[in-house]
Amino acid sequence: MATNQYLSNPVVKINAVDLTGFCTAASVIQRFEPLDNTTFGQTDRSYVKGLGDHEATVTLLLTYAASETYATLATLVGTTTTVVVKPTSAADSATNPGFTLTGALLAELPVINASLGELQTVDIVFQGGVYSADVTP
Amino acid sequence: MTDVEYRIVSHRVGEPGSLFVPKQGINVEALVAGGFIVAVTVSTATPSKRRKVNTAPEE
Repeated sequence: MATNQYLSNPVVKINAVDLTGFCTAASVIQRFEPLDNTTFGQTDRSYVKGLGDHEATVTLLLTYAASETYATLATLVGTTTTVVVKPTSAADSATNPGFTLTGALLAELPVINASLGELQTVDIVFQGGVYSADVTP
Repeated sequence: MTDVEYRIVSHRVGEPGSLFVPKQGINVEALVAGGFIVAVTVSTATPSKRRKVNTAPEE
């Protein structure tokens, strides 16, 4: 029987700063560039694994108060950092892995995204870095 | 000789006042610039021997 997991309280840390309370969506994608090694005589494409090209995307409420979203991100633009997203606030384990990108680049930051009558949110993307799934408490 | 250690300021990083040991990949300069931690200069030199002072009363 399939198990569905409802994630209401994932943890999101950007550069060691806990931004869970500002985050409304987060994804970490482990990805490798596919290299085409199809040759004559084959009737289907085939691929081998190329370089890792991982990515983390988070949607955050954008605030300008001290120690909040903008203060965390403004000094990271154009630099590399570490992003951690895990399913719950419990310790890292096999059932609660800490999905981590180490050395991921924040290439751009929308510094304002205002709409009338709405809370301000931004989608930010961290590209590259080394992927790991930490299961050690 | 001096060394630099980091102390936590913001609760979003950890317990304020406690030592912050950055893990690999953490951008420490950004944390300092954002006011999340502070750099503290710590002297690592051994204290020099102090000259013994004779406190005996004069006769």
